[in-house]
Amino acid sequence: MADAVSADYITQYLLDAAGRGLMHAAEHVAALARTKAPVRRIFAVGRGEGRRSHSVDVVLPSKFNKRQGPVTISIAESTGGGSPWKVRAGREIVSGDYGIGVASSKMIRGRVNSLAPVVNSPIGLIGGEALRAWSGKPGSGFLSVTKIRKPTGGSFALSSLLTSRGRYEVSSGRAVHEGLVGGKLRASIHASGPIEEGYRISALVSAEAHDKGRTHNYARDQEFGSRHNRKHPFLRPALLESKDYLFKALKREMESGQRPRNDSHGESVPVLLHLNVRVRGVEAVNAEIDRMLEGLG
Amino acid sequence: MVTMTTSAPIKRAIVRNARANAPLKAALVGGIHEGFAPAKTAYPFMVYDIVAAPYANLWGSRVIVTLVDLVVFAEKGVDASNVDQLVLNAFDGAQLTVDGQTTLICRRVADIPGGPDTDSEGKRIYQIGGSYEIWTDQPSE
Repeated sequence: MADAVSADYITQYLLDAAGRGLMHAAEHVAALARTKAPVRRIFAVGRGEGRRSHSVDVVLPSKFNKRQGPVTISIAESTGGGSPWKVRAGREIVSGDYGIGVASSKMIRGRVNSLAPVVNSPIGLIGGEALRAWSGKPGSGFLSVTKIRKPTGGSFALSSLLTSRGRYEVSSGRAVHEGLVGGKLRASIHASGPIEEGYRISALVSAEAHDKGRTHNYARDQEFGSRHNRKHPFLRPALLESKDYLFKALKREMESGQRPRNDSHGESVPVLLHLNVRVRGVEAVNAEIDRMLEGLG
Repeated sequence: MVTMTTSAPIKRAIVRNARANAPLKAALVGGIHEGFAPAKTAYPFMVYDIVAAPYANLWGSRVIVTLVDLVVFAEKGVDASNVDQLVLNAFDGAQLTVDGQTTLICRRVADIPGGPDTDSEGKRIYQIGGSYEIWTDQPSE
């Protein structure tokens, strides 16, 4: 016969399970927020045109940033369609050492605005971002591996692709973060916790980003806007879209039977969970809650 | 077939509700702006912006849960706070008239933190406001 459990034991079980579920949900919110975080738009490519699911890779002269080997920049913005070799209307760049290839975003995995160097080797591409890879077959429509090689000079100008802001960002290196132009804000998004205060448990998803030499947190300006800039919220939409996930994560942990931290019993305790949540007087909301709970079951 | 509507009528309802409130309308000298106000707009003014509006499709109806920021910009902190109180009075618990949809809930869910900022003319500007959650329902069959 299993030992009887005390109310304290069940309380601790519920607190632990809630903490774990909350942290799962917080991680989920943070991951979603990273996909929504604004990215510095430094490229003129695609400006004024609807963004399509294309990316452009540019091979640059190594003197550009004094790195050895070629450097690729992935541009996750529209190329405006048409011929894959045209980066914008009226401008055609011939394929070659400094050629520009176009691939659908499905073929190129990696983050936008990457300045991480990629080196061609007998075993394939080395370096760059861990996720960067060509997953399609080389051929027409996107730059083949064999064309990514060390440039020997040329006249291709990166600046022709950049906005004036982009030229400043790249030349000053002000926004370079871990080999990328931009991405500091996104990299700063993280979840922490759980924080227990009595029977109240919370988790924190936060973002904090500063320009070099400044203390102003511009993550706040992006989330809430300022007198000078429109807001680009990324944390709160992620939270709002994760409500269902939170319910599911809590339920999963509550039913997990995982022992609490101060468990002195020899066996896991089965827990029967029954959620009873109602909003007084708003039947449509209650119907929605019922539907959600049925979905969980 | 039922014509479904998006969050656009919710934005219209927000502006309509703000304009229908005489004290608030009189206090907003610089008017009401979506997203961002032009450089030389007179203070105080209000900016509204939809943060997120996920849909929940039920059997026979669609609920849109819209999170909206209503923020007041003013040259004095006390003015911004006073106008923000008027915004709260006008929107917290209000029954918004949304075209094609029924308002279930309109309530303030959070204050928006913000310290003084400087505008293009070097004036100190106070930014005070709140986030409002608006639940609307519309038949989908």
